[in-house]
Amino acid sequence: MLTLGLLAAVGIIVLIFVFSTIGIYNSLISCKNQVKNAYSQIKVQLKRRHDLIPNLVEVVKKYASHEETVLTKVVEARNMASNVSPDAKVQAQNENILSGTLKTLFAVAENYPDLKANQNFMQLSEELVSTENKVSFARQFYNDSVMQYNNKKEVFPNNIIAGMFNFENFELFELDSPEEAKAVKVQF
Amino acid sequence: MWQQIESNKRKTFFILFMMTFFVVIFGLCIAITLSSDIINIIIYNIIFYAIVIGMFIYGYKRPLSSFGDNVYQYNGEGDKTLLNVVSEMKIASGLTKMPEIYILDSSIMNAFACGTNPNNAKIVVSKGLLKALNRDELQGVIGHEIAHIVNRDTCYLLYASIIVNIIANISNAYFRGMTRSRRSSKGSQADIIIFFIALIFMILAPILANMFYFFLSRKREYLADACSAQFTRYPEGLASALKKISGEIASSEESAKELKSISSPLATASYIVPLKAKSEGDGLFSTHPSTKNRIKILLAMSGNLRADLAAYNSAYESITHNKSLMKLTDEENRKVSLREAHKEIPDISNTPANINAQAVGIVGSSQIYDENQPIGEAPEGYSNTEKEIRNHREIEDMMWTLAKYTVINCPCGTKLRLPQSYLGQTITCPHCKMQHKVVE
Repeated sequence: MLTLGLLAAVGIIVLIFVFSTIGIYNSLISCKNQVKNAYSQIKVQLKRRHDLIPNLVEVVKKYASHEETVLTKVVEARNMASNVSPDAKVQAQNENILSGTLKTLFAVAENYPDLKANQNFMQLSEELVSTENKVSFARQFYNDSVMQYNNKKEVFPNNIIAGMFNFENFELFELDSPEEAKAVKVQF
Repeated sequence: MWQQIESNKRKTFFILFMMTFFVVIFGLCIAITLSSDIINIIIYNIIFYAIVIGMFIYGYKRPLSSFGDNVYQYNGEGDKTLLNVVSEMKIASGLTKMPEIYILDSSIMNAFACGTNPNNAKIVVSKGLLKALNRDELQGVIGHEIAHIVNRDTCYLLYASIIVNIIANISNAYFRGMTRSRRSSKGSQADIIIFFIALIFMILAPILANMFYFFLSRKREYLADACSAQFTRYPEGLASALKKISGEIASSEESAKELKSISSPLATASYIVPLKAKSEGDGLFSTHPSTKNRIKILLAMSGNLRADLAAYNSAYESITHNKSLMKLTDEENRKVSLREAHKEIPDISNTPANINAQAVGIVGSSQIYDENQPIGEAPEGYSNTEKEIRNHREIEDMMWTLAKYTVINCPCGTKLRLPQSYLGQTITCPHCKMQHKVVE
């Protein structure tokens, strides 16, 4: 009788272990999938930006035909970025360069009131602003997901299970150059 | 973000469970005070639950229909700003399905979220709000509404408000009919005591239910503010929007009119800022926290340069001197820093007449001045700031020439800049009053 009771107790403890392991494993998997999903979301938004740019260049050309250099730079940067490089760091750099050329383009466009009043241009600008924001938020969400996943993976009982099943680490997506974080503002 | 939802679900579950338990006891009490016969008690309970279910069904359909024709669905026709702002917040919050957007044809500035779960979420924004707020402020407000959706507040608060309604209405009806239905006075000692306990419970029930509901509502509003700041990484946007909204509501006559047309006080509870001044404040009977506090907390966060939930908590504690209403799990407890307002691409809605202000705006911001691509090197021996100023002045001059402005240097030190459209022959310097001839 005693051994039966003991067996039952051991059995229950084993069951508890098994169930909690399953639970932890499943939540780690969910977190990991959320990270992967977030990463693909970034790519979606970046591609969207690539697709919007040719239209923008066409509209600007009509009104600001003297701005050859700026426009060419934008087109070149865009083409570089849309040939997606397998190396994530190189791709991130290309995207960064493209953002830089876009900023210059918009700054230059400030001087052409006709261009600014043009409906197409206004809509395209809104779309581009929105796409830039979406890229930014997608990155943010990806980074948040990675942080959550890392936190979850490293907490005590979970890290054993994560080790057992070889859950890999993900890198945070650093698109901006560190200098951008300290944006310089000179007030007159 | 599903971790956050999980822990919120667990926390709120307790309160909702308590409320449901409350309703069950309430039903029992009614039955007990009406009759001492077990069969009758059961019958009364069944009737009670039938009424409850009916009110639930009615309550879940109500929110959108209460506005009737003034609401129309927005699919991105015309100006796409609102659609884009909502999709940006959808990405930042991790929602899987894009919520439906409705516009309310009203000049009162307000917004709310409804829908029973994240898959059938709806956001309603009033026209007045769209007109008055800029993109960052609008994004703060939408972030707040999406936070409600992601945290399932629309679902929980609706459930809780229906329960409060049920208890209030039935209690009302009961006490009016009190004189008619009397319990058969068979009672023993125990019966009379039970009767009185039940009666007291019934008197207190509406008040207690209300207090539960208000507490839950306030807690959720703070959580939504915190989540909005975390999504946008820019708490000032929401703070500025709240300032505008509350200022407008306090001073506008239309709010008073609209207030009269909305019957249930519970409908107004879902607005971002309550229309009734009495509904706000951190007292026991307010649905929303005081807007002043909300603004202060958000601004304190941006003062500390952090946008995460823990930062919201500490700002909350320092401003209201109360312990924070949110307990964070390990996963939620992480540091997240602010970002600048999304002004990567300049605001292009200015007219040519403003080009003066604009040019200074461009040069003064970080857009052209990119540390990685300096335009013109400053001479040696200048400090960093002076180098920057020199760079800016060079860029500035370039911009003016590009725009074909005529530049006249007045001996008093002022640079006079005339647009091409200036037709006069002479110009007077505004500082020294000296007259200059305009030469091309």
